[in-house]
Amino acid sequence: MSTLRPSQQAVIDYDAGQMGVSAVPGAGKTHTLSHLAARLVERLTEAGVAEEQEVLIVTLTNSAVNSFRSRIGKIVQQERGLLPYVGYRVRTLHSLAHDIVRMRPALAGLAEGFDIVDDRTTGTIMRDLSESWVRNHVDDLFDYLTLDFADDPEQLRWKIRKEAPEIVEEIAAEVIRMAKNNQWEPEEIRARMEQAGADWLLARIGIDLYEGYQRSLAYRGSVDFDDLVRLAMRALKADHAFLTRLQERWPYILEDEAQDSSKAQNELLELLSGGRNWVRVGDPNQAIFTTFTTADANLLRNFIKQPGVLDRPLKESGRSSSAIIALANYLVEWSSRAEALPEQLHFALAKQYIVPTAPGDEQQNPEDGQIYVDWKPGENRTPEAEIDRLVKSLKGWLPDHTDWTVAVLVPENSRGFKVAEALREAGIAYEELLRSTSATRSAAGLIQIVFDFLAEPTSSRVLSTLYAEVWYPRTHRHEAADEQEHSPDQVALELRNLKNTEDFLWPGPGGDWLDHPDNVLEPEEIARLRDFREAARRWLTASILPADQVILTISQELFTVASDLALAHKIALVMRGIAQNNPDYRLADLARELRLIASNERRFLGFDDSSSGYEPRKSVVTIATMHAAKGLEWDRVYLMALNNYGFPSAQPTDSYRSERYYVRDSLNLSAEVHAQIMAIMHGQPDTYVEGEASRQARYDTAAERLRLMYVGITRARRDLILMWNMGRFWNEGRQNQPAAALVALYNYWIGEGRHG
Amino acid sequence: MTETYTGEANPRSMFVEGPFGAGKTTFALETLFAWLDARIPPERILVLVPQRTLARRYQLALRDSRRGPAGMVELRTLGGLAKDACTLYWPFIAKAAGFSRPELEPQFLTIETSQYEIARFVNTAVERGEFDAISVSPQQIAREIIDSLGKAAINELDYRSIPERLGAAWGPDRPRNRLLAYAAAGRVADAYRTYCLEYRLLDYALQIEMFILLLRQPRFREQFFGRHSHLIVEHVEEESSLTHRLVREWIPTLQGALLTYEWDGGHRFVLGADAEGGSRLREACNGVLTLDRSFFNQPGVLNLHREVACSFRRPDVEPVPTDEDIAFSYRHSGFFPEMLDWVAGEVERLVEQESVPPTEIAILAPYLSDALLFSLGDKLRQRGIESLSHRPSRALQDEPDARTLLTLAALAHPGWGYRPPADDVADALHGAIPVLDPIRARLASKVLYHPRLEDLLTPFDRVNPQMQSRMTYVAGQAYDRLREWLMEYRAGEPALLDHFFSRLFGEVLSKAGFGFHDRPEAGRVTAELIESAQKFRQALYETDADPLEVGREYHRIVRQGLLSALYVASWRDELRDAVFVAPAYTFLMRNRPVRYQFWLDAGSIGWWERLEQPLTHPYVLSRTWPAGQVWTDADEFYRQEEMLYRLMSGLIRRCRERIYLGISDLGEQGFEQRGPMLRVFQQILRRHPQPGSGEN
Repeated sequence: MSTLRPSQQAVIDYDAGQMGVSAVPGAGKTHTLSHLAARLVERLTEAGVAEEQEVLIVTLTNSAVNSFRSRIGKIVQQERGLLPYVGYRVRTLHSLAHDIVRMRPALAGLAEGFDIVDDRTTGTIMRDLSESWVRNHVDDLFDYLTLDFADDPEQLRWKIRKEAPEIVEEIAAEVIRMAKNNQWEPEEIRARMEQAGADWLLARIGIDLYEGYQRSLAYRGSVDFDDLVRLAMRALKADHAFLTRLQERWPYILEDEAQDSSKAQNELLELLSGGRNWVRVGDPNQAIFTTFTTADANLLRNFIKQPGVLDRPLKESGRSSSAIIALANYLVEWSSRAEALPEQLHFALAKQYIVPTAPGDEQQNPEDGQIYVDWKPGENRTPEAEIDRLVKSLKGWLPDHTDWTVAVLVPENSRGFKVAEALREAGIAYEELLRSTSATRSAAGLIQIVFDFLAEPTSSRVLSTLYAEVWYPRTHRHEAADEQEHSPDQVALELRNLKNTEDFLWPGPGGDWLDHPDNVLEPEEIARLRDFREAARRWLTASILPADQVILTISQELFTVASDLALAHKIALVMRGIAQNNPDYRLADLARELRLIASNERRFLGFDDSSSGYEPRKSVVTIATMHAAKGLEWDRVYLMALNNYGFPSAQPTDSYRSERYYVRDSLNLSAEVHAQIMAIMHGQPDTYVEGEASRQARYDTAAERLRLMYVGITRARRDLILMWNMGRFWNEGRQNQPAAALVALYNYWIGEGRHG
Repeated sequence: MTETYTGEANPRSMFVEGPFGAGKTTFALETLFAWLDARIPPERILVLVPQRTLARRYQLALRDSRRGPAGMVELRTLGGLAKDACTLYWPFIAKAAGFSRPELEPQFLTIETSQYEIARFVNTAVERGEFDAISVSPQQIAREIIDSLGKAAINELDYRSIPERLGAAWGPDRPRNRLLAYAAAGRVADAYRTYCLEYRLLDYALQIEMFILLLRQPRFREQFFGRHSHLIVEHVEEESSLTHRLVREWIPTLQGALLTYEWDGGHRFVLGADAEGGSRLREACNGVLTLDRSFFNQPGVLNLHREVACSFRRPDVEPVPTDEDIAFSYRHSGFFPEMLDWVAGEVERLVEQESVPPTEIAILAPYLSDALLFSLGDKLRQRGIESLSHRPSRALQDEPDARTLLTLAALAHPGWGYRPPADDVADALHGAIPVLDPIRARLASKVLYHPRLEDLLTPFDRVNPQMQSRMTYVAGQAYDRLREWLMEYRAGEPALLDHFFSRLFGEVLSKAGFGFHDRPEAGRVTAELIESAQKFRQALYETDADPLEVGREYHRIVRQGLLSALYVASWRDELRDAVFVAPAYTFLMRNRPVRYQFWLDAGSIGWWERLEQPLTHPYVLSRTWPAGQVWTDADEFYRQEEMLYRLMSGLIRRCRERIYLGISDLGEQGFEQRGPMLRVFQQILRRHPQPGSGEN
């Protein structure tokens, strides 16, 4: 067993009861929690009940599940000589809820083979409902809009009509999310609304659509991800004996990332733990999933403060250099007292300082490296200039640091895609962690190209793409780039110029395009094309089969990696469902569906072939959002776009994504409907005052973004570069300012930080 | 043979019990032949089986016995007896049963047509929000209500008591809105029943209820019980309480009766099997023969059975000594397709290296998704091994040949108002005219098919010569023949759809130069389609119904994937030398043991049969469940455990040499698998570590 420092040992010495562990970034939280889990598994094994009882570990993401599973498995097997994967279960909240519902589906009102719909389906249902609502009621919405500043109010009206479904969808999504989190049925909210006599438009939209949405799901015999949690709760509450059985099965509950725990998760785990053995681990300063979810960072803080809960903080961290730790600690300190920030933000970060590890600790903090705040007072920088500076910096730095890891962290995906494009153009090697896993995209993307071909085999353009993007790379994947004598480009061009694809694919007697005297292709290329033709024919012949069988047939030929094959299998199941729900869909429609999966437009259960999550590769730049970077670390980190749009601080000059410019009084409609429903459900309609929720939402957003910046900073081991830009609309009179925190860090760094 | 007999020296009725493979059916067959040899007329002998697959051994034995008219021995199920009774006695009973216009003939509904008929009532209720308390699709609601009606009938319960029984079992402490859903299901059932009575539609439940009604009539009883003098009831543990009552009343009237009972059976509980009731029938017999040793399993398999029993803490079972063989192997894979590869590889090894005939191998899973079935079949095919699936049904629209026929039918009936998409026409042309490869079929559909024109299809010579040459003239000729046939048909009165399919097949598609020529598989699909269209018509329409209307409706519901073919495996299929791939329960009911079994997805929770359903319940709607009693979590859990034990026991008993477990960490859907069967094997592994198996 690797050495544990005393604070970690204190966690592992846990015996029973409730314990809260507040861990700073890099404190070895996963390591400690894995050891604790392994020890508890051993205890169950010794008692001879490891088959009947399990340690339940609940974490936030699928990759964290994989990571915990294999870490605990290794400790259990190697250090304690037990069977791996026995005696414990690692789950996300949703997969835990899925387990529970699957044990007693009827208790939750579900049939045996219930289906979990993906985002595409929920998106379609919501869009249909919103459009239908708008068709009948759009004029009602005008009460919430402002037409004051428009040059042409008619044109603005037209634009609003166009955008109204999206507004309605957003309002409904908020109501559905909060209702499910609170386990409120549509009819319950409606009854309370009538009782309260509160006939508010936004609430009405929300309830109408919630009702329609649930009915649409039921009609399909399906549930969505949020339903799983709600239904698991319903099942546990409906049958106390069932709850007791599960409490007995899971005598210990370890909760990771507890700072992002939602109300539903809190309730579910509270129910399952039955007030007994519940260990909650997290970092309140890394609560970055609260705004668009129903998570609440205070839940963990309050839990730790409760009497009877063991408080076992992990304060030491060996991850970052002392200088970076000092900068992160300064951010905590500054935010708690800065006059530049409204008082409401003084509690955004908990006063929990990172302590470097003691001499002799196994994990020593790295030497100080470079810290650079790329902003100067009065300086303006366009988004393009920011990326240019990044590329220049990387080009100069990478050749001398081939054994370093490096990341560019951005506030949102769209910025990440721009960075990726620039690095590609500059010839810099990179990997992106943007939205769904790239494995999902590549497997679904390849299948989609094949479907495009099956839908349109007479198109030489599609045939050419099939060859260049699917067939050639897949059949030559083992050749390194410099070993490839031929690029697919020439052949692809010839195929693209083909007049009739049947002359190549199914030539008549004497009409084979490959044998034509004008053919300029090399013999080797012709041989390759013959193989390609065979495959293309096989796929075309298979295209008469149901969609799932077509996918399985082609994936057998395209993929060799187990996770790709598993993903293709899953895609086959999903496409089968889509085809069954839409009997009129044909190949072109299915190709469109696959394109949606391939282009990230929906959440898709990805199969990750690495059990330990993402491992940054040396001298390959990782591009990720700051959210996706959580739990990871790099030697050098660039934080980009640190301006007051991405990181507002509740100042009058700040602007917010959730406030639309054509909505009056800067109202945040999602926040307003949230407040309306809360007032209704608490039976206190008088407590709702328009605008207050929008103001509070600004503070919440600003607080979370401060924490996000803290997460970004603490990803760096040695080097840290903080950058900013003025935003896309700088020349339209909407110029963003540097984030208040960036300015504070700049002042700190040129002053005491650098010299202190 | 270890056998114990208790009872009279020459019993008229005998109860034969024991595990699978102990020789019960062999004994029953010997008895049957003894009766025949004693000149009992074969038509006076009845063999009653819980489902048709279990009659197979009798069919083969009678066929092979060369006893001439022995084939006249009747092999029936209770449902078959009920249906016969309804047909024969309809005029005498229809009025009493509440049917209107009993002078007209009744129409028998299949499960599918019953669901079709009830759908209108379900949909109305769903639209009114009456089922909002549950998240279940209208099709599933229909299935569960039909299922409840059948269960109530077979348990001799009044179907009107279903909501009350389910409500009482739901209990007073759970959310009350479920009772609204039960009540809504009750109203739907009422409306549907009224409709059936009005239109003389007999679904399974009504057939059984009428049969019960008839059994109360002395005249019927006299004729029914007097018809046979000798009775064999196979697998009484798989029969319902109604059958048990019937048999109990029947035995005193018979000159010879033999009942077989398999220990740890009762697998058809979802269909109303009452194993305990079956066991009690021994009291109605004059002698009980116990055959307690299986001659089928090898010692390692018997050891596995013992170990499984031990893990389930069955009484009086001790673990197997550690030095003895336990006949199972396992492979732990990360992903689902990896597990399938391993299974296919092991099957190949058995077939190629150990010369095991494929027919001696069964691959079993809790569920068989289409993707799994196709994928596994494909992997085996690539290794030169045939597989045979026993799926109960498959959507007609998934059969390419059926789709060809259906698309051509749409082209022949423009009056339906449905114009098939160009892709379907391309597929149909490719299917009908083999010289049109998939690309040329697309071209042909593009230039020859005009959904907006009245004729729909253009003659080949109307397109430009360049395009004609691209499609080839040979194809053009075949196309014109097909088109002319369709046009000629359209000129006349529309035929019944089954007749149309029959003519299209006989007059065009089966001819040389067309796609169904010399393809028995296409002939089989056509025959199935004809049968399906015919059954649909006969079940739902009066004889004088408008063929155009019937055809349009049939075509619509097939297109929507709502109607499956009635897939009955032919004996020819069963004789094929192929690996059998099936859901575990289907394999059990097929009752044909094998040397090797593969259990797929051993971590799936699907191995654990769930009893409670949102709108129905096999136990609560059984005769033995005390009305008013709450179905608790303990009931659910312990009965699930019991069923899992019986399932595993039943499967192991049907395996001679070894069981292979495929474990996939992530299931088909990508969820980690932690089903209850894994725990059983972990306990066995702890007692008997297997160094040879492990991760892929």
